[in-house]
Amino acid sequence: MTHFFVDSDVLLDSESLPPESIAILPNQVEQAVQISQTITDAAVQWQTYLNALGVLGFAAWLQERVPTVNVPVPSATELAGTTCTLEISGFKLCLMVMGSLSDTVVSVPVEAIESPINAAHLYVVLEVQEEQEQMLVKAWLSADQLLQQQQAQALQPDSDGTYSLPLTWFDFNPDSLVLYLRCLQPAALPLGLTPSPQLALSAQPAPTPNTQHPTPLLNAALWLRDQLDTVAQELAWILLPPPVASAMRSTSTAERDSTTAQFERLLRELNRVGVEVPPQARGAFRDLRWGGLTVRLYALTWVMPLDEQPEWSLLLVLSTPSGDRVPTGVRLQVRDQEQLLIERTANPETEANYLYGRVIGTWSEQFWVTIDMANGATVGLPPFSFNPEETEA
Amino acid sequence: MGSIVKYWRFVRMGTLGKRQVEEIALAKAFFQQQFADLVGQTDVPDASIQRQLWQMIQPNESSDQRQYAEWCLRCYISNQIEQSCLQLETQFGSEHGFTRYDLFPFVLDDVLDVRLRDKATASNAVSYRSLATEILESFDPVKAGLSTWVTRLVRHHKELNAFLLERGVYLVSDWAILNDTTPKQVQRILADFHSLSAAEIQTAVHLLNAYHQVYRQDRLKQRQVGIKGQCAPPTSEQLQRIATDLRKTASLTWSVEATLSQLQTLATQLRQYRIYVRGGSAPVESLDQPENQSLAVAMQVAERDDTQDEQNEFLAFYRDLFLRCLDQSLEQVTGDRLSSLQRKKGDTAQQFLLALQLFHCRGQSMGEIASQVGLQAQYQVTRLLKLKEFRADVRQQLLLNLRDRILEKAKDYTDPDRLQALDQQIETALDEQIATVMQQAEAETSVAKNSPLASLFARRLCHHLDTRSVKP
Repeated sequence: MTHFFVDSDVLLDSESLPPESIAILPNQVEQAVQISQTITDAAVQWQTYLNALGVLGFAAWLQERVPTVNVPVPSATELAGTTCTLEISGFKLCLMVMGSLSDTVVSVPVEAIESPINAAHLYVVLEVQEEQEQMLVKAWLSADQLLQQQQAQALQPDSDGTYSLPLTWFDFNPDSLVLYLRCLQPAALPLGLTPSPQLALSAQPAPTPNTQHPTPLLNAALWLRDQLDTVAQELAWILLPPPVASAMRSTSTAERDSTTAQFERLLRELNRVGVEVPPQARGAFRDLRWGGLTVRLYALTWVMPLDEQPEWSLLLVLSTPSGDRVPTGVRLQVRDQEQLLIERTANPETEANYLYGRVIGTWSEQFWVTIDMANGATVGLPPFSFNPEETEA
Repeated sequence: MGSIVKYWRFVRMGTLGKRQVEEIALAKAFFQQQFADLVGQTDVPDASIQRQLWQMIQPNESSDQRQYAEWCLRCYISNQIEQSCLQLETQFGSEHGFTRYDLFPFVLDDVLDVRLRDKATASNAVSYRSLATEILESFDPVKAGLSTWVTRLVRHHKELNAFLLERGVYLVSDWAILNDTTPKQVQRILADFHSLSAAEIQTAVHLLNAYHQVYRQDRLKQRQVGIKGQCAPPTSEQLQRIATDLRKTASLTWSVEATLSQLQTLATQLRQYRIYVRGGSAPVESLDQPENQSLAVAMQVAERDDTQDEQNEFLAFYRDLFLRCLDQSLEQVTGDRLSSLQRKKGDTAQQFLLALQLFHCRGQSMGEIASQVGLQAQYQVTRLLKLKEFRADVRQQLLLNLRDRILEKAKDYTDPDRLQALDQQIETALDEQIATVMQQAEAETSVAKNSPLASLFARRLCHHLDTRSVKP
């Protein structure tokens, strides 16, 4: 047996408790112990206990910061995993509890990021000091930032079915988490990494619209009411503000780079080539990626001036997140039930940086959009439909 | 290497909580006789002296020699305990409001009454165990130097830790670290950070699993009956169970002592990693001090100079509405804070209100405020006010209030980047006049001290607090 000579430096690690620490109250400890007692697997029991301490502390903290918010108390089963998901003000929060060890990474099960059911809008790291009965909202990460990081770093899951997310990806200011929960619409954020490239994209040719199995529909009519339906939310569509630049909108640096500004620039360019978008139109966008390539698809809809029967218009614009030129060979196709309506392919000769196409249909008509990424992948999206009668819960 | 007098000068708590130093003549005479060649030297080899003294107090040695050698060691320990308290004071004392004299009663508790060293007193003293006794009994010169060992036991002292935690200073115990570490983490840390072999890592994982089986379960049982506080070192009974488990699962035949030592080794390795991880982040400068606050704003202003005009425009356009919404937000957030503080014990709510006023309307520092609101330290005021959060809440409430007034604004809140940008604009607008104050302060250094803060935020808050205090 080897003896370990105690290093004197190691001993000098008393620490200041951060002023923003939250004391875990005796009744919360009691509650957490009780919750953990329903778990029989000893290895899971301790994590459940720590999770319960963290979640109860987090709930109290948020309640104090935003008294109007309603924080549900999860059950023992919900707390028994590596992470715990809470739904608060329409946001899904994935809470990850870190104990007294401190680490450079946090473990998150793959499904808490990739499954459309379990993925969250916001990922929050809680630090629990069980011994001191203190906890801290340490860091957080929104799903869109997660997506960006994941794309940049090409993070792979570990063999135990979890991702080890580096803490350097996270934002260490919990005040901006409160800002999101207080002021942001949940629809502004995607859910986790859904759909993962493997789910959304296939190297096979796109399925033809005629293959008749129940497909989820994207209801563009909801956009006009400032809403996204479940399908759109799961597929990471992001709603855009109305195209008219409001008088109140200032143009600071931060905003010039924002997606809104880019979208408006695109509309101005389209206007120049004769595509008019009426002020009442609403749109959304999503990014599609495969290999090293990311393209951004904008979809705008509006109701046509009433003629004989009500009609809707769908304008599709394929661009890139940076606004740069769409790579040569990338192809945009739009079909209806019967035939191919539009086909546009990026080629170096054209002046425009983007591809676009516009279709008009009755309220019962649907459109299928396919994007050939020109690198072996073809993306088929759920059909666009227009149903103003539908209400989204 | 250290000073020789430590071996016969005994530091103890005197009457009225005062520190007293006493020279133990018998210990001095003994020491000078044993280590004659060292007499007159200013710097002596502590490690070798302590090893020899430690040998002399082993049970097979003659009783007089044992007694004298023990006194020398206890003198040394008392000096080292004092040093440890001094270190804590230097590191945390001023911010957390304590001095070494607050710490002495917990750890400087040894009694060395050489005049009463007859058998009767000795047997009386059996029930009393000072920290020094504990240190001597657990000390093993093979494992650590005596000064290190003393520091370790002082830092892990249960009552001392409870006192420090109350003042906002804590030390995580080995046992808490082991509780919260998963086998997966151990594998990664030992391989990547400590570069251990696969076999060593395998053993560590077995050890951790066995420890978890026993210690975590017992900790939860203790929690169930209301036992709280620092995790105590595992008892010999617990160590026995861990050793038994290891024999079964990993065919390791370790004694109770060996098991304890291996657990401490693992904990130390994890602690080293923990220090590395926590030390890696940049130190967070407190923005709560009026001076620092101005600095932060000055930095902000410098960074955003090019957008300053736009911000002023933003403010000018909304001025009236903005002010009304700001007042409303200040009232809401102050009210929310008060009602949540009122649910807590004591007069925290009153302390909060007063501290908020002293900081913003009188420009006092957290340290000055502490004594006026009945708290001991700057740290406690910082934790009571949580100013960074307070300001964030006011800002965000303001955004919401503005949104309700300006319907068109609502649509901007669907874009996270825009939302963050707006939040920052408001932050800058609230601090609008700080830049001017900074210039004044540079010209005339005494201006910023002990005068009301001049930012819009502070002025409106003071206005609100004035009207609030008029109310019954």
